[in-house]
Amino acid sequence: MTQPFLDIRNLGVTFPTDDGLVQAVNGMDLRVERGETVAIVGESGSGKTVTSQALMGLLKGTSARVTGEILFEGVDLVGISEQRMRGYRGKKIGMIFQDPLSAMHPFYTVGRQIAEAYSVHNPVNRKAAKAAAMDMLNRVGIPDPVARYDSYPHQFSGGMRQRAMIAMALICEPELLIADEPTTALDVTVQAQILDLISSLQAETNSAVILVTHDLGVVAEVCEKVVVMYGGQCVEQASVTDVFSEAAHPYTRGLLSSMPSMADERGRLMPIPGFPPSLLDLPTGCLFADRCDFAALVPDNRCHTARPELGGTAEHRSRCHLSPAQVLAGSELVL
Amino acid sequence: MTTPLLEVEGLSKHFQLRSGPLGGSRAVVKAVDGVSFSLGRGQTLGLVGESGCGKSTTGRLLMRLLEPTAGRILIEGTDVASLRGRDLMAFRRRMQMVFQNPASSLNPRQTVGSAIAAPLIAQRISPPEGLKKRVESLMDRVGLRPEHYNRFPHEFSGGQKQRVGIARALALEPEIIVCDEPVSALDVSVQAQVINLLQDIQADTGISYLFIAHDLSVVKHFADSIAVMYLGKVMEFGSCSQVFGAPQHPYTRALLSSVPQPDPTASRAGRIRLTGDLPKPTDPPSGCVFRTRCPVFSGLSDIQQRRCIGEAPRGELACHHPATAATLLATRTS
Repeated sequence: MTQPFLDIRNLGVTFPTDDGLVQAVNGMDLRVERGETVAIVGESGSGKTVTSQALMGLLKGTSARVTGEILFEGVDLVGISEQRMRGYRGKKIGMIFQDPLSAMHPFYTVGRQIAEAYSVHNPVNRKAAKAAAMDMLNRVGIPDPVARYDSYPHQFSGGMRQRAMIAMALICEPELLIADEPTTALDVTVQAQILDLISSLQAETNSAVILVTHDLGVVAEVCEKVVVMYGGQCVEQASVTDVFSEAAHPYTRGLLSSMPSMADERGRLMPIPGFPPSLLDLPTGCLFADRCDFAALVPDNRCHTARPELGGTAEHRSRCHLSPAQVLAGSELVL
Repeated sequence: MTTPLLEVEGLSKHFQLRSGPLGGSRAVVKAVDGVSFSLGRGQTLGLVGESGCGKSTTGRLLMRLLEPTAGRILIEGTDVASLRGRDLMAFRRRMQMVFQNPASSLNPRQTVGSAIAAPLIAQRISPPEGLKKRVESLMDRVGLRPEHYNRFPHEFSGGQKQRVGIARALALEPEIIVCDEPVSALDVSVQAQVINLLQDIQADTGISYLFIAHDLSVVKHFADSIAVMYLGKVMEFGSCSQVFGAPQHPYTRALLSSVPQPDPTASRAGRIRLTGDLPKPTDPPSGCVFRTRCPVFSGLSDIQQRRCIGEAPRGELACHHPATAATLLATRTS
């Protein structure tokens, strides 16, 4: 078998705090192939952002403890030094943050910040870096890049700032782009523009994209594969069509049925009762058991005593004591 | 025809901005400019639009948290835009508000019990069963437990805090609640709980909601009628089925086709994409404010374009050429 492009195995991230150990990520598994678009979906506190930060090596030098493996082209990024990480960050792995205003330096012009990202990894003079940055501004659809090169971040609108952020992340043509809620702060009409832009640039460069989001609509628009996170674990991983048509995990089903849709006739929404577990004190059994309607179907109270493994086929994995067929049959029983 | 519960006519709010270091010429932001709509008893009106379109300002004007520059706000025919003193106080009993961010709209040093009781105390209402009993029944109504009475906001999750906000708004038994993005800060699974709660309350009490939101799927799920706003003006106003089912205004069409569909098999053809960003609110386009981003403007004839530039469209469908727009968009789709 060939080496996958990116293989995250049993990733764990914990943060020591005054209240105890926060277990933000607990055994996350993820595989991404070259050119693929993978969505990481989850609610706040599910560990999706921390996973992407660990991937980018942004937790090095903080109090966080990272365990497990992040194999990027066969190299484990968890163990390597900050020095070596710098060779990857920005060069091979690019990142787009949720809030471009706080991700950019307010005192430097947008153009200079993009050019800097280029010159750090490429031995070129200032003029060449500037030319590359201008070219990139043009590619992300910023009108009049020559004049806009010298603008400061606050002079840009939200959508333009996110375009500039994308320019900065893609200027070194990374093989993997991590987009952490890239459109959450934007209005729908601008969101549509930015998603189109990310898709078209990806088609041009054939880089892999990990899109972190909480919006299942966005997932359906641009992604091929979906990873659903809950309580710092991957609870389901499947192709986008499988997730929407035959979700195998009760949490994924709950997410889908609690979401109002433009297409459906209005009925009553089916919320997931309760709220996510505290990351300070995780239950011993399945992390979702307390909110799960299906837990009653499993004999011997196993959902509350034993944590399920990520099972199923390579194409469709799910972390549940029930098989996908049992969940499907059970959904008529409990709902 | 019966008079609607709430009628808004030509409501405007203009903010003066100082420009230049020495004062100098003053720029005016027309945050809300000639907005009209109506809301019936027991109904929900969804106010949608992108950020900066004036939907929150409209909500604050209705609550008299801001003084309108012009226009009338009629509740059962009485103008409340000019109420003062005792009359204003009495009006506030009829209309209450739920805010977007439940964390910042609750006082961190006040127990939730006393936060919910605050409107009753302010209005000098003493319930026959006693204040505490009334608050407990309100808490029960929104799904909070009586033992939560003496807890502080930080002990609650986001969804629970929003329930406190709803209980506080219900305390005076108002006829209208203005909900300003009540679920935007919540996660999907919790959002559905709060939406269901608001719908249950409406079914029980016949209350009316003015529901301000940017999430169109939530509004579609919830509202009976919709007002779509853009740069301080209403672009299209109509029933939910009309606006979502057969949108007339090019902006409404573009907005609807920008919403990501949670269905990977849905057709992605024939979508309308707006280009560019919102114009500066200090310097809006002349005539129709939407014309600079309008997907059909370039396809109009010179005479039609001149009308868009020269004259602001009015009415429930603020478009000069809806028929031409429909034809142009239809040919593009096919």
